[in-house]
Amino acid sequence: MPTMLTQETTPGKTAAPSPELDFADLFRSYYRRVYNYLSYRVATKEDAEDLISVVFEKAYVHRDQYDSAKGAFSTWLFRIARNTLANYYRSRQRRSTWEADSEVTDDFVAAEPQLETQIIRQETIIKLLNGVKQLNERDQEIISLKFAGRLSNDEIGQVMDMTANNVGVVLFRALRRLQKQLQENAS
Amino acid sequence: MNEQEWAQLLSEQLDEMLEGEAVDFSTVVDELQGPLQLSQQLATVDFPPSPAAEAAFESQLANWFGPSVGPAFPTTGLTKTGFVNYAIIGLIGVGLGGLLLLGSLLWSGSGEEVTPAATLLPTKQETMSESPTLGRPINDNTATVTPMASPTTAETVAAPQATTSLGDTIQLKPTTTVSDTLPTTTLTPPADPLAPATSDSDEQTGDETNADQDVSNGDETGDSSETDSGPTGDHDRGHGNDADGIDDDNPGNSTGLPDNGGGNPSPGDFSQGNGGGSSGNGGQSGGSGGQSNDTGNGKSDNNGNGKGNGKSKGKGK
Repeated sequence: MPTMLTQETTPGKTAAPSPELDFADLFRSYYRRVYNYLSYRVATKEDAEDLISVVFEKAYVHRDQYDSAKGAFSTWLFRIARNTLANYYRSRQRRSTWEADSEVTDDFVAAEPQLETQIIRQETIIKLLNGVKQLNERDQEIISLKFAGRLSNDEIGQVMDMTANNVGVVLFRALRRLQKQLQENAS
Repeated sequence: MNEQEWAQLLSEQLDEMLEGEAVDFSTVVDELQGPLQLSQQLATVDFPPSPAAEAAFESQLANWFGPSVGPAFPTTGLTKTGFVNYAIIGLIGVGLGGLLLLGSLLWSGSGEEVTPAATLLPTKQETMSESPTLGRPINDNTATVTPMASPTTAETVAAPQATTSLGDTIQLKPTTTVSDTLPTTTLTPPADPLAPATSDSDEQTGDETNADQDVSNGDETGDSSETDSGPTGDHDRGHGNDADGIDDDNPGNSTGLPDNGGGNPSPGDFSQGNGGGSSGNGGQSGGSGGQSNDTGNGKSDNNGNGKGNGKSKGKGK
């Protein structure tokens, strides 16, 4: 259903899929957003690709448990992704890969027409992500869900069991801390 | 404004930014300038999956839900070439659809015109009756011509005989020969002492293109409504009751012997081929010496203008 896909790909929208065909299309439409969220949260691209296959496999196996009356498909799927990420951390005896000394790949920035501009943007983003990984776990999680997963505050609240207002406040604080962190790193 | 209000305002502007709307930083309060700029940079970060990962994901979806019903990932739009191609394909499709529609309309229209196909049937029989050399048993009246002469040689037709119901033998006088292309044998019978003969309602309504020959006999006066005066004997040899044993109804099977049924008028019912078989060959029968000489009691609908309907429903007795 294209209409449903359009709604689902927009943050903050909800839908109620039930046939299997809807699941296939929904999986397809959410793939990039979930992958982006996982890439924010893990060290390497390979890990992100391994994790996303696990996420959608879980979603497929437990698709019967999804109840549209209880919440949006996006929150259900990102909750699975978050739990998968937690298992990943536990298996590797880590809290978060952002705490590890991981290198950020250079394919995360959209191509720029000029090479110089491209390089500057990549350096800026690398500094930004390195600043994010210095934040606490909850700040990292909210930033990832907000900017990589493109979820609304309501959806983030459902994923993290928080209110939307609380998400807004935490996000505001996290951005201010990140700004301060980047200023400290620059100095 | 307290922190929660700032957070609320920031969240609203973030939602607008993530939906694609441009942020006018000149209108943003200083308190939110820094967070919004960071948010704009974070929103541009995108980690594209590798093509191998996408293919693996599509394969996984195919295994779960069957063949893909749409593109794996949304395309950004049509190129000019693609648009032109689609436009051409669309125009061709519309054209073909129009042709199909037109064809279907014509087809349905022609079907309505074909409905009175029964009127065309006599024409076909008429054509067949003009080729007696084929020796095909077209109908009874054709039988009056075929066996009398060879189509390859011109010879004088032997004077046949006809036996009336009263036992009289009538000598017929063939005056012309049968040509190799179109036999036009004309048999002139002598004065019929027994005319008018008896014949039950010989309704010749066939398409008699040579009906003028019938008229020349003076017996069929066009739209005659001759009433049946009652049977006076079996004059209809088209039923195979003739004494020579030759099937008048089926001249193609005739032995070629002089046949009273084939081209020889018989007194009384001259509707050779008993009418029942003289489907549309009234003209031929007329050309065979007035075979359709329904001067008897047969009811003839032949108006002599050659436009019968090819049916002769005589019921000779």
